Amino acid sequence: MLEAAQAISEEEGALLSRIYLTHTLSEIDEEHKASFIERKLVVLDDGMARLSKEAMAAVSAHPLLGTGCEHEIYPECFHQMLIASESEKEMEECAASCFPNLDKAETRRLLEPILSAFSSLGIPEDMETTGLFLSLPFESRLAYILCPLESDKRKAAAKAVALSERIAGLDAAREEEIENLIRRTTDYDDYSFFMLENMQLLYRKNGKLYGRKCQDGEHSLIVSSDFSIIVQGRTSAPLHLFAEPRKGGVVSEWMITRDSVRKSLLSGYGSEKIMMALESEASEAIPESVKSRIRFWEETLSSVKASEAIVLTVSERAERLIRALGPQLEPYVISHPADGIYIMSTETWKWRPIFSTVGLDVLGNIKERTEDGKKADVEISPIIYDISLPEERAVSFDREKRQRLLATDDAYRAALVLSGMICSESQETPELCDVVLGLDYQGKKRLISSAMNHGGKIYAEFIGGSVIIAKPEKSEKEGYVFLNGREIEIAKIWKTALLSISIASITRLKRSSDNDSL
Amino acid sequence: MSDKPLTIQSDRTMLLDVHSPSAESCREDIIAFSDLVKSPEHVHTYSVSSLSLWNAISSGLTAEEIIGRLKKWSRFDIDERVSFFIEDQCRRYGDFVLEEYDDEDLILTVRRKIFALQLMGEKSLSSILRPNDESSFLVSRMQRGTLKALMIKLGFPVDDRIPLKNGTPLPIKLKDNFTPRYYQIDAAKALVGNGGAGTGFGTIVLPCGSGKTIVGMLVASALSTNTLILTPNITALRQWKRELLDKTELKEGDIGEYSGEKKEIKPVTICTYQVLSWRQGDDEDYKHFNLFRQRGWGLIIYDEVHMLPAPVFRITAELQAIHRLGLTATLVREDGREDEVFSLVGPKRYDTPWLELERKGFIAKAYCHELRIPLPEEEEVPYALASGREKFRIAAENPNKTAVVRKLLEKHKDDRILIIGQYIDQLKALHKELGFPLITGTMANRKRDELYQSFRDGEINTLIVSKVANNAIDLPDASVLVEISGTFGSRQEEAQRLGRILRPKSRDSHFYTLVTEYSREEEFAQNRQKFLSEQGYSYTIERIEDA
Repeated sequence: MLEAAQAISEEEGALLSRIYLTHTLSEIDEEHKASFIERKLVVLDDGMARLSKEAMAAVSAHPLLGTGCEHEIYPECFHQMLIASESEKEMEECAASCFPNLDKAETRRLLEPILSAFSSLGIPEDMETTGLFLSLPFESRLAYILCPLESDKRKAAAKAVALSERIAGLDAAREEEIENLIRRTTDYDDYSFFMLENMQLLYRKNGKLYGRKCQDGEHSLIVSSDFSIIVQGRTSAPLHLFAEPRKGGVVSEWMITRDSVRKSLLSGYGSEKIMMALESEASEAIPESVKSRIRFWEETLSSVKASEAIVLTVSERAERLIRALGPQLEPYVISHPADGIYIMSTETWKWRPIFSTVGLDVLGNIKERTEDGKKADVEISPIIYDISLPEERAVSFDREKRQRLLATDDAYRAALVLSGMICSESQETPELCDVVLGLDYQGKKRLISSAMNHGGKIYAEFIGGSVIIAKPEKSEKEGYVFLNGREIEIAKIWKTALLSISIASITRLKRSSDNDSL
Repeated sequence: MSDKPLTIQSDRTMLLDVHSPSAESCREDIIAFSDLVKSPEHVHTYSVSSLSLWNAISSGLTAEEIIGRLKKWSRFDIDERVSFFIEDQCRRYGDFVLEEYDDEDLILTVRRKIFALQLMGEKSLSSILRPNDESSFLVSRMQRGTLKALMIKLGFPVDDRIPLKNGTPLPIKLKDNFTPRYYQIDAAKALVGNGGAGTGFGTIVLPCGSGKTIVGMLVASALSTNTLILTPNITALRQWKRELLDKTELKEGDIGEYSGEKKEIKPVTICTYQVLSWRQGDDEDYKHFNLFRQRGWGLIIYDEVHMLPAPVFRITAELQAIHRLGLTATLVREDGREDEVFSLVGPKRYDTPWLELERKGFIAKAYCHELRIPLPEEEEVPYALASGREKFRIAAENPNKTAVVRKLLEKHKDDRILIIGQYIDQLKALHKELGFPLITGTMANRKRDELYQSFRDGEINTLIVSKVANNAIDLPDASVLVEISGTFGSRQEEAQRLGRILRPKSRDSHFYTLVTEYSREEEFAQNRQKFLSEQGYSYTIERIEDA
């Protein structure tokens, strides 16, 4: 080993360090390349160039190798480059855990696009980005790997993964049918069971299909009184929203700082949400001092708040009409400071239709938004945002528990309970499925016809509260649809949702479970 | 959690899960080659650096043994980069060997030729190293410390094979009127080592109130040699003397005081940093440095080594042949020169989490409170409009604080209470209102000592103290400390102040920081709390509504 150390020149040392960090020989001239391989300093392994132990010793014998950083010993002298390679390594690890069946070269191939996507988005491949990435829930991380370049598709992919993770005991013979359904419900065309099995997210057992359970290995999250958060394994707490990543690795370290909390509050993620996110995951009690500090920060920072609103200046006649609209309009009037002036919420799509019922139109240079536009506000972090999905749960077949969950006034929620998407009281009603509400007539029509085309079921809730879950069938009458054999006016349906695969299959299960055959 | 308590990161930090049943044994195994970085309540962080490895090697460990221990305790496979780093750094030790040459010089032998060339090209070393042959250099004895410190900065550890001098012998026997605690014995052992090369010097980090003086006495007694003790000030000097007379067989005549007042040189001499770094003018010599060359000292103890002034730093580089012991509670120097302390006085040999000593009852259980007090309404606008400095002053002197102090005094009427503040005017006003004695920096030493004494004796139960001479080291012990204002960011100061209430007693201790709400004091307070929160102290935050 010592001979080798003495045998390399400074230039060779620099080149070797480069190879160590890049795993490739592509930047090295032919002469050196041949010489390195001949002297066994570099080993080619699956297309990757690696340094032999002798070579590493040789490089380390040059502690003062130029690199711009003076007098820092190896490997610190390559700090910048190391960070980059470090982050790559973390991503590789993540990818490897998603695709355990693939070999290294294959994993790297999968990873190329995401790395280049990150840099094309102007996101540096550094520890921080890596930290953010790793803090995302499993499905989101996977989605970034599956569709690094197509942000629209990413959400669909995450949904598809989340759905298939929940599959429990479906007949493997109907594989194709189910695949198609998932493709349609999630809009993720590239979906396939083959891929999922490759990722070990899906298993076959006795002719049945099972999704991955919540068994991602042990994980823990610890908040200490010095405001550090130490995370081992994965977490669904969106740490990147309110803490600064300090370190990646087997465990990641985060720091809650005044600044990080400030950013979080600015983006609408308040102290209560932070606390809930931490508390739901923490393995040890969160120090009181940390909790109260975060609350105090919020208090200090929120003494002046800004929010958007629309100011309406109205004529006397219009005011009389608006008054007449009364309670209907009330939820959208933030304040009525003087005659002729109204301060309205920005949800124009909600109050403009009400105005139009009395024949009032609104003129003015305001940026109108759609309901979708409003959803965009939820995207909190400009860099990487979490593709929000309901918590993953196994479907609960405990009859008593399900009955308890079904005791809800919200029929939509009840449908989701039946579908297995809601398994506990603490789970909020998610918006995983495509849901269309009241006024959006076109939306409802689109949704119903999409269900008709694909043979899926819809959830239809009426203003009076009654609910029908059925496969819609075409009616000859314009504006009507057949549900369970009844001809129904689409405009009367208040809330419509396209039901996902699991709902469709679980309603069947429900029937059989009522006979206790499960 | 699995039963293995250690998580090793690829950046060579190690996280120890303190709730694991084997945490204690793991800690004992890894402390020999790593440094404790922080120790909050659940997970302690250690780090492996070149320096910590070299120190481990110099005291006899091998790379195989170190990696073996990591494998034993690690929850996951060890990253290749970590094991490579350890092997590599350990291999490097021994590349540079420093040995005796003649009366004037030492010889530095370099194992690999390539390193010899690099040393020759190194500007900072050219005035120190004189080439002897292709692979060795001569170095003047006086430059021993400087050379080692410079080379460590370059990434070259020097294996210093020259044993330390024994100094003029002096039997120092401990009395049997006290039993040293296990950690004091461990710390002293860690420092003294086996007496071979690479042992006999270093720094011991122990919390305030845990009996660092005893560690000093244990070391002195183990070496039994003429000893020079450097202390930050006259109060500490006297305290050392009291302790030595109380716990060792040394007689009054054996112990000298070398201070502004007296210049005695005895087998055991205690002096202050201040008198050592005194000189007539900027161009003059430090004439008291002669003290170091007297009597053949075999041991120098640097009490509160984090306060070591720069000139004493420099002379310490020349004293590499003498046993050295640095004692401190907080090796954070606000000037960031911790690593120089380590390289000149010696590496950290012992460190222990504060809360562990608290759990075992060796230091008092302390509760930290941050009390938030609003400004009176009429001050809010002046505060908002004030310049930076004024802002801090308005916040610090928030008149509402007085009422809070009053309440605390009432709540703790059976405690001994110290009230510490930054601004004399505020303290004077408090003194006038509450009637308790006020100690300021301008007060004569004698008067101050008298007051401290009657506080110790229980004749006075409350003292108001200004930021005396920029440190709290000479303050007497208490069970309640009220900080009515503090400086920005002195983690050091905060830790020393907490130290005043850590000496074990029958009641729990309380540390109150008074902070004006919505002011810059909030930020200041948080910065000050950083060190203690890393030690696992948790501040409760309370809001005082009706001040």
